Amino acid sequence: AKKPSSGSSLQKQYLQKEYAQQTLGSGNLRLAVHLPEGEDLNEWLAVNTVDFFNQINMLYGTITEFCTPQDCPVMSAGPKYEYHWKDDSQFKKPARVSAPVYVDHLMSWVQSQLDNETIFPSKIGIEFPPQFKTIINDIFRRLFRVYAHIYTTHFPIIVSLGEEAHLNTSFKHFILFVKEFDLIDSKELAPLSDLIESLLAQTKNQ
Amino acid sequence: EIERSTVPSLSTVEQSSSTKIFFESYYHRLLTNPSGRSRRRLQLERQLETLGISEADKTEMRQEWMANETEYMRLMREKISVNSFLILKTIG
Ligand SMILES: [Zn+2]
Repeated sequence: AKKPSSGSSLQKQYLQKEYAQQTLGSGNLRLAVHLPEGEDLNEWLAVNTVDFFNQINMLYGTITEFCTPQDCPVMSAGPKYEYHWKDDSQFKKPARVSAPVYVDHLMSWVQSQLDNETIFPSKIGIEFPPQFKTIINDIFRRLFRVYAHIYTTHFPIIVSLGEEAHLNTSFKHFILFVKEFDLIDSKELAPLSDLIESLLAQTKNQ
Repeated sequence: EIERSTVPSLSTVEQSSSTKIFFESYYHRLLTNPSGRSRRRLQLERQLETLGISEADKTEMRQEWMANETEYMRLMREKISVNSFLILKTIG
């Protein structure tokens, strides 16, 4: 069977009403992203970063069986967006690696940031570094790509596992958080801009 | 474009089930109003009312409460971080 081209937004499965409107609970996620009164902004960014990392880790974990170097020889978000891995140690030049290898580097990199006591202090009384917000932006920009890859490439598996409401809720929460604290440049969000629009429109009607 | 299989293995189905339970309870907790934090805040205010202390003392107690909440969040972060590492290892 021939698959429909994913170029037209009409044909994107994750945008179809029956899937895009599936979310968990009926509460207001918008309130959940607000900085609690009097709370330290960095502390709030930190705890939420760990939460989203954990969520993406779990969601991607359920599809790893289908995200193999054969199935996904390159990390992408639909036919128009390709990501090449680059870091400060092994990959000084952007490398075209398979999606599972890319995600592995990405998640290990985030984990190493979270484990770095000078960036995410765990001892009471130790302050966050001055460049903390820049690091948070980097982490969120990269985490977005995992959502983008899951939506654009593995949504049929998500549906067959019955995870569309879980993925949508997680992603909507992520996007509301990103918008609240201005964490990702809008052009980075382009691969899922239509979905983001649709999820945010739902929140307005709540 | 290759044809992708959508038939998950048993271990994927099991992992998916526990993931879904995690998300359902996480978002149930998050979306239940009022949140744990605002409930604790209300409790504090009620206690302050009954204590009959000065405004300055109340302010001090509120600041102390705030510091405790921040500390709690930091402890929670470390706890989740440890958990996510374990999950990553299991997957890897
Ligand atoms: Zn993939």
